[in-house]
Amino acid sequence: MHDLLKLQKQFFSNTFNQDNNLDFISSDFPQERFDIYRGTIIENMINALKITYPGIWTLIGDECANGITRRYCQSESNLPSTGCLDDFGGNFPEFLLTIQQLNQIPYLKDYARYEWLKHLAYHAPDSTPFHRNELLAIKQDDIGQITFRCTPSVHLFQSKYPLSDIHQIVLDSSAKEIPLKEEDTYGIVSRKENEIYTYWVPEGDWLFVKNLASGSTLEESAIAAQSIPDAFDLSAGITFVLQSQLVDKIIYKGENNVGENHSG
Amino acid sequence: MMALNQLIGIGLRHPHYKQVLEDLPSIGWFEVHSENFFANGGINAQLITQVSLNYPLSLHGVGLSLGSASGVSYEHLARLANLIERINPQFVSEHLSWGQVNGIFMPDLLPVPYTQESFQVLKQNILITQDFLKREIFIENPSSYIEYHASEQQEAQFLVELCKATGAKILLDVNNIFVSASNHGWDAKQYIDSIQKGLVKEIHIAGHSTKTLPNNQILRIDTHDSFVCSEVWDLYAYAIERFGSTPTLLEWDAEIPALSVLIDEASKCETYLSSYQKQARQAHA
Repeated sequence: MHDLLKLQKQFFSNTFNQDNNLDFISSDFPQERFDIYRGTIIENMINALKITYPGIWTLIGDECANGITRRYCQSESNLPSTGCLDDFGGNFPEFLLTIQQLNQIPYLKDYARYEWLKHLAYHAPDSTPFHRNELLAIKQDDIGQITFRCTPSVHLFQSKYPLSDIHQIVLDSSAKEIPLKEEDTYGIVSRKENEIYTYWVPEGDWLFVKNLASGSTLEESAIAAQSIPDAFDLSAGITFVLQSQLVDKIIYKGENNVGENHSG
Repeated sequence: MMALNQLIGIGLRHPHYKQVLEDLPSIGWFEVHSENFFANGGINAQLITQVSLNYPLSLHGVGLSLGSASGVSYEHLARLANLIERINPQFVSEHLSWGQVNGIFMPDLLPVPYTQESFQVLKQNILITQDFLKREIFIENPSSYIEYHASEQQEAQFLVELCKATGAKILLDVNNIFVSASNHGWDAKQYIDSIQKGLVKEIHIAGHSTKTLPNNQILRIDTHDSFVCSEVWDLYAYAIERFGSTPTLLEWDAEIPALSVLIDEASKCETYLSSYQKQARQAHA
């Protein structure tokens, strides 16, 4: 192995495994000096996750969240795989499930997942929602076959916990406690005019958008949405999709779908 | 407010984004961390476009890891090239450092040993970068807290030779020279003297903090969280004397004060720049 690669691997190993094998350093007090790098690296990763998951830091407190991040960074598979820290931390929600001390907060993983999707929406490419006239121009014969492309910032999520109530507590620490009961939550995250929106919707509406996002036709999406015992109004569903600017392209049968749909 | 010398810039950080676009303060240029603007959409993309329409911009990278034996990431280069295409910066810079090994990135600017092997690695990575971006880049001297047994060369000499071999230029961080010189017992002025005049295209100044080692020695840490100390101003004066009027940037990345405080601090460069410019004019007369 080349010397530089060997040294860099040793540096890495000392940073995360605390090998304390610092024989590559010629300076006095190598441990004290090296700890500055180790501290900066860990602190930068903690700060990055705190920015991406502010609600988790609010819900469990700085000390606990920082400590969990340190544990998170003990596994190579969790460490940044790019030089852009905005990409870091996608599997943090799943990691939270592995922390025994957090078992009493079962919704934490779902809330973290929701925050990650907001983070993705924030950084998603821009897109231009199609004009209402394009919808009016659809020929009757095509209605059964057209599909839609969701804007890149659209992500869907569901949970068996009342995430919208939990979200209110995150936003307002004086909010009253809510009894933690299992209550299905359906949400859609998207960015409109640079603001991130979360739409907490009934299951039917959610299924409608989910099917549209996965390339189903309008008719197939409506049938899927009406398949559950939940009143779904197709007209209201279409209005919601348009007003929320969840789709940016009408795709006619046989047309190439440039870009892919996004759903969480 | 008096118009600042157009050579003087400040690092643009999140707390000041909105104010800068609203007030359009009198400042020569702004520098941003490239990676904060990699996204092709959203508010940051719009912001950097707006700033680029009003000010010259410098893109300062912290994540390319030019010193990695594992090579540079083409995905990272593509994102950087995309950003350059969008905002047409006046400068693009990176560091004489590494942070990535075998595809895992440690978010810090880690020093390389100054060896022949490191030289070849950095040379290759810088050439790849410049070729990919189709432009010259500036390489910033790092601040460091350790030295390696393996090092065979002094940092300044290594950096100069590297720039000569690649056509890259130097972003001279005067605070980093002061920090590293103090931490390793180097001669800061000798460091500056060993760099040829035409190589330095940008200068950084910043504040730093200190830590006391067990033998009561002061270790200086490049935290960018305070005012520039008098020793660094003295070294800046020395650098301007040697390299002439050079675009100079104040970095302040933690405990970030009000924008007016940053501009006031950066404006102190004016004394040194105008003094040099006056001397230069007199020499020509």
